[in-house]
Amino acid sequence: MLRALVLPVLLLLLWEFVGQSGLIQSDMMSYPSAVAAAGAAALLDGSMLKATQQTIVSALIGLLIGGGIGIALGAWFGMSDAANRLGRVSVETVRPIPSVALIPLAMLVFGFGYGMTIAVVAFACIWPALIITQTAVKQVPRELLEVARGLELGWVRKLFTIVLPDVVPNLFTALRLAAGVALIVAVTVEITANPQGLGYALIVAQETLHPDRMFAYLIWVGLIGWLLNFGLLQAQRRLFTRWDIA
Amino acid sequence: MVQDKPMQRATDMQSPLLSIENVSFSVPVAQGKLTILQNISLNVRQGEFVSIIGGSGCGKTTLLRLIGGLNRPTEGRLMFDGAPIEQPSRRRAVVFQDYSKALLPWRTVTSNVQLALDTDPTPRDAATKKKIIGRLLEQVGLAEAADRFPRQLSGGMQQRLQIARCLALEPKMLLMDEPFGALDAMTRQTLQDEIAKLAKETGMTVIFITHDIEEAIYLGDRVCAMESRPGRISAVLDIDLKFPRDQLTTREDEQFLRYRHELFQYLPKKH
Ligand SMILES: Nc1ncnc2c1ncn2[C@@H]1O[C@H](COP(=O)(O)OP(=O)(O)OP(=O)(O)O)[C@@H](O)[C@H]1O
Ligand SMILES: [Mg+2]
Repeated sequence: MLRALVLPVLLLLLWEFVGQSGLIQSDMMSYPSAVAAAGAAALLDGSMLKATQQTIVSALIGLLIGGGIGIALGAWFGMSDAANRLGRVSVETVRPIPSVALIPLAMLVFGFGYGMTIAVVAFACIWPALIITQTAVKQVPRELLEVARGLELGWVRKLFTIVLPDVVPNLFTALRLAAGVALIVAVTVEITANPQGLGYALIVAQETLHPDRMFAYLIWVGLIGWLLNFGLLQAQRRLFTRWDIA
Repeated sequence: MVQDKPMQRATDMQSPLLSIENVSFSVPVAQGKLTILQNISLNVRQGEFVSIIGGSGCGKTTLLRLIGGLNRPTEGRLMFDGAPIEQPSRRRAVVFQDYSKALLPWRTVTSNVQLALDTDPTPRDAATKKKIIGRLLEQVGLAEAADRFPRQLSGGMQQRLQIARCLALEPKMLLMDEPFGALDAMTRQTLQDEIAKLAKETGMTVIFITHDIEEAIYLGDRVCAMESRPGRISAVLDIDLKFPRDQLTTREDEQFLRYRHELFQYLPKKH
């Protein structure tokens, strides 16, 4: 454990030394102590927390909307071959559009603010949710579906008592992947267009030549992404232990 | 009411609960079609226990699925209680061979049985359901395991659970596909006696598929032997052994051994 820390600490020290010594001349050069100070300042004056809240709220709402649409469509396509045939062409047409290519359109429709980020995030989150859900629904054991038929369940009942519970662990995986996508896309929209949130803070720090603040935000974003994934992974392990028959 | 009884019985004898009339089943293959079942005819009376035996791949499961309504015949028709079988019904409960896949792993034993009651069109209050579940679990010997999850049960217990869920439907007919095939000999004998007792108690009609001649005779009022390629019924034998049957004495009964001999001829010989 301690040994694993040796290399990172050495690298930090090296960075500090190179930065302070002025060996490299660059507007964007900084060093750890300055980054830490800038980070602390941004935290204390509330600007970092405000930006964090803006990014996370956009990412989360976008994730819920996009993930919800993706799961609903995926479940529908997975359960009904007719729906799948009907929807596949539309999906295959729309899906390859890079989500960030929608930024200009979203800006036109929503203007600056939450709506724009949320819309682009939602679009990006639909696809992982849709594909994972549809695949999972297709793999529900035939026996379980036949049990549903034997109980004379209608499709709503079948969906909620058999299909969804069976795919819940996969839905969680879908959610985890989509959450990663949501954060990336939210920050991207903020960097490129939307004057709010962590992405905007990053780009402002860069443009106003505050490398120390820029690095502080960069590390902060990475930390949030890592925490998000770690938290969801832990939750998944806790929640779905009883799902398999040994 | 009293006068109705003989009449009732007379109609029962005239119209069987299940009648399979010249049923064939084929599937399309690359070169034309493959006939899996050919010209099957069989009548099953209310309350009868019919065993079906046959070698692997002769079409037993296919026949059971047709009776269950999970598949439709390509020729002929199946009638149940006076109406053609068109889809699965709660009145014909299927006990699947692979019990581990037929249970809902995220539900407890109680909750798996409850599923059958919750989806029943006749509404019952929670207390009634609880009582019914308690009785069923008692009947199949799972009362102690009520709060466990399927993966925490042995194979025999999982199959008992599947049977309990089917019984909760109060079906007229129970369709069982090699239900004890995957279990060890001891568990198997116990479950054989339990299902025989249950069938007698409830008056349920049972179609029981097995590849074990002795099991077929031990349980059946009648045994149908099937031949393969294409699958058809090659012999039907009435089993005249007194109830309740006993694992030791019945199996040693001379008549039992004669049935065994006779049925043996109809099954594929191992070389
Ligand atoms: N949908 C299908 N398409 C092609 N062949 C099929 C299909 N369903 C069943 N068969 C074939 O029909 C035959 C009968 O299958 P079935 O499962 O009914 O046999 P079985 O008597 O239950 O065998 P076992 O004792 O092994 O369970 C087999 O040869 C099987 O390969
Ligand atoms: Mg079979």
